[in-house]
Amino acid sequence: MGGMDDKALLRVDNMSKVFGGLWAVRDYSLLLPKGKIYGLIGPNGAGKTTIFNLITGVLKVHSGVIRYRDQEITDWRADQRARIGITRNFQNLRLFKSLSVMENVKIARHMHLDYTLLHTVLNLPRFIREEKELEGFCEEILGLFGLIDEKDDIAGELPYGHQRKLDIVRAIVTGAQLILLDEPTAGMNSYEAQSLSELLRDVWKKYSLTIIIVEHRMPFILGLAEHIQVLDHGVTIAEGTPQEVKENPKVIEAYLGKGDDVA
Amino acid sequence: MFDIRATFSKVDRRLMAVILIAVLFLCLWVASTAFSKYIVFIITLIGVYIVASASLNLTNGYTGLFSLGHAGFMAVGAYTSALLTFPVKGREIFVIPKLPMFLGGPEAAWPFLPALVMGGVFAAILAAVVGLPVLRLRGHYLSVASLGLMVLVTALAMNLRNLTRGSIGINSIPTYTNIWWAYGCAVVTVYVVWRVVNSSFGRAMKAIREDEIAARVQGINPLKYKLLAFTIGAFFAGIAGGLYAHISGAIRPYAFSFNLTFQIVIMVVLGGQGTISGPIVGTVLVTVLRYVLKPLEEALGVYGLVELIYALLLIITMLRKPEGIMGRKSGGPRGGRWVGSLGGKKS
Ligand SMILES: Nc1ncnc2c1ncn2[C@@H]1O[C@H](COP(=O)(O)OP(=O)(O)O)[C@@H](O)[C@H]1O
Ligand SMILES: [Mg+2]
Repeated sequence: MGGMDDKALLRVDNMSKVFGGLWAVRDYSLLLPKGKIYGLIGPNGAGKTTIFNLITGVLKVHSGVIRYRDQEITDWRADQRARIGITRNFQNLRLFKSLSVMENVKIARHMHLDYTLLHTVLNLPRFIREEKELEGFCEEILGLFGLIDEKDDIAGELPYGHQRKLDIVRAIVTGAQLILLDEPTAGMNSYEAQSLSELLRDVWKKYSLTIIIVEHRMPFILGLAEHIQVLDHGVTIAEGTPQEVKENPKVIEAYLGKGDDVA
Repeated sequence: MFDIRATFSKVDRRLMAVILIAVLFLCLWVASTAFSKYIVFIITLIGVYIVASASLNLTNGYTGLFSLGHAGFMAVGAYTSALLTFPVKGREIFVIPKLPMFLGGPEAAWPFLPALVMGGVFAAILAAVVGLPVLRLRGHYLSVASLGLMVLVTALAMNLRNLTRGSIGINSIPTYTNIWWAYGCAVVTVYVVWRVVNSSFGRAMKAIREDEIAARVQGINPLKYKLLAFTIGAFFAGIAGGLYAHISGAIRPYAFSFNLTFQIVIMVVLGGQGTISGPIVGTVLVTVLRYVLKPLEEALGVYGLVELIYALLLIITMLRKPEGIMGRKSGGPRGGRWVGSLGGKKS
């Protein structure tokens, strides 16, 4: 198998998840090429977050196969998947609330530190060097996202918009190649959402990331994603370019019918 | 307290620490010459308990595992060190087994320091072995399981009579522990904990305490860091146990039971979980209180008064200032995981 598969970073085949007898996700498949931004939309309860939970290993699949870089990872733990480059943010913000902004970002950089306990306890040069590099890197990223003035603030005490930003920063600094963003603009006003969209586009280019975004704001997702899947009741009811999806009657029925905020 | 912190944060912290330690040892020297033997004994005991409380803080405060097994690890350290150091001549009289070949043979008795370290190592090994299944449990289950471990250790100490002399315990243990040993170990313990919590290891522990799922998707394997915290904690608990054996000169299984475990938990909670200074402050307060109340207890004939007051202190702390004396009020209206609600959160 040539062309297609070489470029597929993530491949999901017939993935399903059952919660108490109900299918939250049913036969979901995805072929995600490296370097793309894909969108995942659908009404509340459609199963979008569950798909993210399954891909990142937060939940175990009921059936189906997940491959990342042609390696099967279906049974891997979440932290193992993170270490090969899959991470995410959380729809309902799971910041380390009582730690500082800086510490939140440093924790996200965990995988890149290599010193041992001995280096730590004896404060050896390797520890000092790696920690210094870490500090510099985190400051740079916080500067980029306009959070540098808040670096010593407690994450749980930040204004909501900043918390959302920090949640995304954490995902990006992990250095993961594949980032799953679950409603990154939830609770933001349209101005904030717009500037976040631009910021995301920048970092996507800068770090050549591959991203899947779950999003409710149609203009946001239509402008950012080049391929969109539409989910309803755990089933993929349509997929294609933003234009194709927008004009698909099934989508209009499932989505507009429920009065979600489609602009 | 906040003002003091703000002022000192600007000064070079390492210099501060060195000065602080120098002042501490100067005070200890003055105390050891000026005060009565009894007072010096109490001061030394405080040093021993700091080793225990500062290390318990690593699991309970920083990693968010509410372990109640610390006294069990102290027992392991105490018995190990007592058995290794017991003078060869006395072994027959006191029915203490001679050392097997791999520990030096029948004619050997260990010097204090290696015996102390060995006690820590044994406790750490026990923690690593038991931790693997136990640390998969969450919240209350983990607390109960760790308490079970402590009960198991004391039961073994009761029943392995050939080794431990059962409920009579071991006495005439050489009393090597003095104020310098106690505070030397306390300083090392606090230093190690401080180094660890300000490294990627400690950050991983705090991340697990705050939100395990978020930690996992950032590449942190919770079991690994829980095990690390538990094992390091147990190592120093073993040291504390060894110090205790060689200050009291006599150990019995009962000495390492519920009372001791809860006393150390109270020291940590009262002082402030997840802070460096908390356990130290808590230890001083609780120990001083114990020896201030002891004469009262005896005069009134109300035994258990001290424990009663400890329990009250714990309840009041949790109601009025759950983050402890040195703890910073944790941000956000939520944060009500029960482990979290037991303690102050600080980086
Ligand atoms: N951990 C869980 N346990 C039980 N049911 C769940 C769980 N997570 C999600 N569900 C259910 O699965 C369905 C899909 O939920 P979700 O993936 O969160 O939807 P979306 O993110 O598209 O709004 C919903 O009916 C939800 O109630
Ligand atoms: Mg969702």
